[in-house]
Amino acid sequence: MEIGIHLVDFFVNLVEQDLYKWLFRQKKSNEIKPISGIIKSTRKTIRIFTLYYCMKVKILFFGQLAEKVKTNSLEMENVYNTDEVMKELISRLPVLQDQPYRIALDREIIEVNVILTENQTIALLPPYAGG
Amino acid sequence: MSDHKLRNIFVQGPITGSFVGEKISAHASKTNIGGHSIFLGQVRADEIDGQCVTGIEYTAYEEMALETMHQIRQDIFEKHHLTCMHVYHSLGMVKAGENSLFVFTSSKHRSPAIKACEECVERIKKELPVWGKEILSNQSHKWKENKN
Repeated sequence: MEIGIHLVDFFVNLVEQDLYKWLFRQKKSNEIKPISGIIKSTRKTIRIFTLYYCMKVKILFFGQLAEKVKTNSLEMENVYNTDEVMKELISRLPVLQDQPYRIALDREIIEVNVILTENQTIALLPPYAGG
Repeated sequence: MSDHKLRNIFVQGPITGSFVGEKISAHASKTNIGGHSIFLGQVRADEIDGQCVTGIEYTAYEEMALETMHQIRQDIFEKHHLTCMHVYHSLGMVKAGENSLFVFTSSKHRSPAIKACEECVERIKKELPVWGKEILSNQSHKWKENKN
């Protein structure tokens, strides 16, 4: 896992979204992800530390989805949350776009975006047909 | 139930009559049981676009299915006064007319066994990550989907 550190001062009137946009631009050049936190806050500025790190996840496909994408699994690196994984997956495998499925993260169905930790497993589950 | 280790429910190929018979016989020594309820899912030879379903090839996300089944089992034991419950589901090919699901509940009196059996089957159909590829007579296939 690659880690770097970066310090920057922001004016306090910047909203959170602006910070993320800035962080996003920073990471574009080296394709790694930031985690950030505040180490110093004064009335006018916020000092932010940023840790860059790479995350690797495994993605599993089942049933008709495995057939559509012609594989049972793949790995993805440099991802931060499940929304980003899905966006990247759909751009790599556009056939997924109009398929019905639910998403499981480490064998639990998730309905919202979740921040990933190292070596988690995401599974794409088409409609069940047991019994 | 919570410290119970995950039980495997999957069997390769169909669930045979002799397998079901053995499981029933195995309960002869449990003389506190007064009633069993059994559900057997059978593969239907449906007609799809003029083709006949000759069998279903089952696959599953096994680890997740076993964890989900463990939760279902816990919930059912909390709700119904059961003596025991056994679940078996096929993986791989099951031909039309053969059985792919076997749910077997037992209790002192009939009611809990009957109710738990039905609830278990419904939850299996809705919650277990299992998929079935219906193989048609012209060797093409269609993916099965459970109706609610």
